[in-house]
Amino acid sequence: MSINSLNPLKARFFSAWGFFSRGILIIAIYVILHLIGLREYTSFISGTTSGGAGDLLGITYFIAYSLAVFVAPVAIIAALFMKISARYAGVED
Amino acid sequence: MLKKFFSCRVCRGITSLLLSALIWLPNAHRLFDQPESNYIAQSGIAPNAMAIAGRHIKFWTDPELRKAELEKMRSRNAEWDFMARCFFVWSLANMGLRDPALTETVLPVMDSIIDTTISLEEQNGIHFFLMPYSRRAEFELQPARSIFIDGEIALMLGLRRLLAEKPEYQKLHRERIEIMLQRMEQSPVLCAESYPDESWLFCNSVALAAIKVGDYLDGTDHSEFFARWLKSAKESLIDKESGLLVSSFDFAGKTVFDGPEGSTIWLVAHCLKLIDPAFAEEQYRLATKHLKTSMGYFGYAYEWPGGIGHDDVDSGPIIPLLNLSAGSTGLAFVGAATFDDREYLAALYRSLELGAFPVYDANGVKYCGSNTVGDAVLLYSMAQGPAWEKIMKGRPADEH
Repeated sequence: MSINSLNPLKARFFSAWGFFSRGILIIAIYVILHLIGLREYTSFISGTTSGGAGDLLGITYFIAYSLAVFVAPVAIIAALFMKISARYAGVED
Repeated sequence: MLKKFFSCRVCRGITSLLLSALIWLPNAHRLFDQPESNYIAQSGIAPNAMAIAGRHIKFWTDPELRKAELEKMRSRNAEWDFMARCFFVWSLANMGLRDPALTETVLPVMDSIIDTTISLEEQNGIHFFLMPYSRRAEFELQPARSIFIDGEIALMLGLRRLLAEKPEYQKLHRERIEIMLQRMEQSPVLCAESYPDESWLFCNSVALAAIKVGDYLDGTDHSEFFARWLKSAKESLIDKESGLLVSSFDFAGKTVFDGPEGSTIWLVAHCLKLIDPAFAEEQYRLATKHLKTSMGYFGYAYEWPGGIGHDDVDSGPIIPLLNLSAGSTGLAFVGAATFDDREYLAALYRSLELGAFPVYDANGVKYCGSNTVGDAVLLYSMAQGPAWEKIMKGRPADEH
């Protein structure tokens, strides 16, 4: 396995590592945004807008959060199915 | 055949994604499920209600924090500053009734908010708590007053008195009731103006509740007025298509400005429960029929029946695609809690944990996706119950 294939951005999309690494990457991005305090900016949802940049940060957080909750776990579980189905078909992942 | 299918990388990938989506998506809600007892307690106060109240008490007793929070509200909508005060005082009254040990803690906070609010109204006039368009025309009834301000202040005074009588507040409460009744009587549909030539059912139903609280406390009887009001509302203020009460109309009650709205009807049903429980429940059921919705296990509410309509500064934005209205969804908590709609409440609480972005700290909890008025409404939905129950039960003397 080359170093490039371990890079989440360069790994093949339809591969166990491709799914798994992207899932982890999404969660990592969300955790970073959370730790730097972007959760505060989600007040745009209720119309308590702080204005342009604040709203943009809130929307960025909202998207990362939605992906981390609904998409990343799907990708991570899919990685497991990918492994199992490749083994079943007798092919390399 | 299956081996051949799985030897294709893309086929394997798509199948894996579909299978895992089938497993994850129907179960994702479990991350956000909390026991109902965290929000609603049969007796005493639920932990989440205490956490919201803790944070509010902190900022109402810290001038700097209060200033920052209220300025944030006022920069968007002065009404939100006012309503945050009212919903919080109404909540504290209910919390005191739920747990008498809290009474000594909540009374000074309630009094401080009531006194500051009345003093701001006296110093700056009614427009201080209204949106700028309140100055664009003259009120039909002079001198200019808004039933939005009178009704909510009267209900703050009334619920404070319900928790513990205070003679100064009795006088202020009675004065507001007399003013409201006198102005409501002058309207053909018995509804006073919130804004110039614009009457809102939200404000008039809060006024009715404040009058009813006054009847309970002072032994007055406005049942004849309530009966006339209900008859008039059923004849003139019902939307023919949905059967729901409309939201706003002119002083004469001839022109409807806004039909049924979520940010109005949930609270109207809550207030009308004091006057006519059967009619209130019918309005709640119709509101759920037209406004209640969900995305999977996550419940929320539309602002307009069927989710079709615009957003406004009154009720906040509507999230595109989902047509989720934060204003309507916030007040749906109050409606669902009032009518003990556990299924809808569970779905709403799940959405609260998913999409309102709670942050817990030493002071309590705040919902980042919400704001001060939103949090106060949430708190009210968790605390409400004992005040209405007490009034509906009637005074011991009335039972004989």
